[in-house]
Amino acid sequence: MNPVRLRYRILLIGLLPCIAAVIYFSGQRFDSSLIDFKTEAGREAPVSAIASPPSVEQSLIVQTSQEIAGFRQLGQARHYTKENLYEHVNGHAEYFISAGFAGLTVTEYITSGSGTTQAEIQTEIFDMGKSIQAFGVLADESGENAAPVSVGAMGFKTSGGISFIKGRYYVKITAYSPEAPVLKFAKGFADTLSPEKGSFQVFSKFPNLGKIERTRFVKESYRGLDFLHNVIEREYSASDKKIKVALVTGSGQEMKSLLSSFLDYFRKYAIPYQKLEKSGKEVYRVMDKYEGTWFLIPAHDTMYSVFGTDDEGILKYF
Amino acid sequence: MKRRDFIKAATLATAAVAVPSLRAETVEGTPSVKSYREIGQTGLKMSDISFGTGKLSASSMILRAVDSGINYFDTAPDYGQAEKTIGEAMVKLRRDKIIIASKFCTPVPYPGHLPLGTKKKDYIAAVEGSLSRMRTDYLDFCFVHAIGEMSKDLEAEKKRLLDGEMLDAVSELKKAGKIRFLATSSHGPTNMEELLMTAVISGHFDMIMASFNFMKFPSLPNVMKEAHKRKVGVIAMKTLAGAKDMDIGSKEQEFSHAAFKWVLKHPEVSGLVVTMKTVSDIELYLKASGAKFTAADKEVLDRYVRLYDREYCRTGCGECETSCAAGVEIASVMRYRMYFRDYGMEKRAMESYASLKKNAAACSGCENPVCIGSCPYGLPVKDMLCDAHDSLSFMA
Repeated sequence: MNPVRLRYRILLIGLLPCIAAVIYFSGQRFDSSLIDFKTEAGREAPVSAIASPPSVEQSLIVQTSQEIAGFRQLGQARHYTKENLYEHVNGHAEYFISAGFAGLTVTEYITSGSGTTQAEIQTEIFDMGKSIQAFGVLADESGENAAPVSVGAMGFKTSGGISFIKGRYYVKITAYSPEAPVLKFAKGFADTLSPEKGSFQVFSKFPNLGKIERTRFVKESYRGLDFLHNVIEREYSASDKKIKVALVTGSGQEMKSLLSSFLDYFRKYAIPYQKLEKSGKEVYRVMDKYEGTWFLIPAHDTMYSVFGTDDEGILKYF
Repeated sequence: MKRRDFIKAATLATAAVAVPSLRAETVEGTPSVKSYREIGQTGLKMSDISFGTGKLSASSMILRAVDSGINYFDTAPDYGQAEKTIGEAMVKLRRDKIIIASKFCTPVPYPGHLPLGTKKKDYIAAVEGSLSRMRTDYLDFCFVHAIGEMSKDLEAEKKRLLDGEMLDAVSELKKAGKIRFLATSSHGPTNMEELLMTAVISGHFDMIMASFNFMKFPSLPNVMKEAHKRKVGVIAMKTLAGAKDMDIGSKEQEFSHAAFKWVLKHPEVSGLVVTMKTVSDIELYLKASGAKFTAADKEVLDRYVRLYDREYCRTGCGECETSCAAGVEIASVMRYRMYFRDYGMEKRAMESYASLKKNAAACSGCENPVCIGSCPYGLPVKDMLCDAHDSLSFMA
């Protein structure tokens, strides 16, 4: 047996009475910091590329009209916050909250002059905090082959009615009766929502390049890039060619960080690029084997990526 | 320059630029396919790790994959915009260098499988739709997809599998050079092994694709052996067993690699198909190509089993299906829950869930939850169903 180890053992055995005495005289104390009893509400929100929505207190309760297109409001509007949203959407609350939900206003309508107490149409106005977040929810819920209708922005038919966005609001209108003139009602209802409460300004950031073929929202990993999330892509037709403009918005710091991620990516995969200066702005021309030549155009609160053309003439549109 | 002039000039400029051909030139150290295996007796060899397009984000992903040596692409009309996106890539690819597999489906939110009773002309139209979207003249494989999913009735699904209208359509499509081989796939939820065995012994199918991973299935090896004997190709899917914890491995032993190597150690398997969502996925997954399954890999998988054995629903098992008096489509609900929670395919999962005839809406108030205890693997079925409904339902 190793004599050194034996010495240590004897020393430790000798210390045992001392340890026991300390515990006996000082007692066992509960350290509350060992257990975290904080509720979920008290925890910090996870870091996300989408900025936090305004708090429930700050969000405005949407005032709905009493009379719309031959219908009148039945009873009072019901308002929901993050805390009780589950009472209304039963299960889908987490999805809305993670997408930026700030508040929900639900109203019901019946035909004007009707004495019924059964709602014929229900409206749900989800305040998503930001217009891009409202757009994200709409993109998720509309599916790939949604039938468009001209209501609000990007309205589409659902199995029971019509959904659309207006500003930061995602609106669902559900008709309980197939005879209800839901399209007429939806148009009237959309008109009552004030665009001042957050018009969808992000669309105005897109250049006017021609006929718009489609606009879509990509929540994560745009074009397979791990660092590129919450992208709005607009496709333009140019004769038989397509030009796609991808747009990301955020704070100046977020855009700097995004540019840095792009440059790291170019270096890692040996993707050649040139730094150009156009009208005092920094622009990157990227010679990508897989995407073709494309442009990366950073701005203070916006990052554009332009695919489908290698003509620098396009830069003057940004 | 006016807008219209710009568009015209841009078009001409773009058209004039010759598309550079894809070469096998990759950045040093970038992983690539190391092994190709024959698919039955088709004469085709596929990359052992191949590309599932369930969440295809851009045509450039296809081009990157091809450059990395991947040559087999699994798609379907009901995988969102996947076929159109492949079509965008197709103009830059040599068609004879890649293998395209699609399904007898319509382009509606998943599942868009053609049901029993579909006419021959509609089978043909479905394939022609796929060809048009992918800008190609032919499919290498066309699948009777997800057999065992449309009905719990074994005989009904057997009829769909061997439907005369479908076989007539295949014959005509083959003659026209629009499809080369017929295949079928299954991830259950019911009768997976029996239906795949039926396909193998029928002589009509050149390849089967099954859910196959280290956590299941008792009878599947027999089906695979029979397929091998009859020279019917076998492709594996759902190989990550739910992919609940991709970080379970270590720096040296990546979980996905261990799971892939386990599948590929079976000589009957031609290759596996895995959804590749990002550039990093391609890089990560291909590191397992051609590699041997080791004792260290087994340790990683054993750890996964210890952690998730009672959380992972073996799609294709279906033992719980008969227990529910209300007829809840338990296994399908569980699979869509897996797509939502573990695969990050929220939208598709919610759309699919919405299309179920009997979803889990009533489970939370169920007074006779006989599903508890019905799972041979000990899963808390009722709790999982309630959780699935919470996650997957759009509205109350």
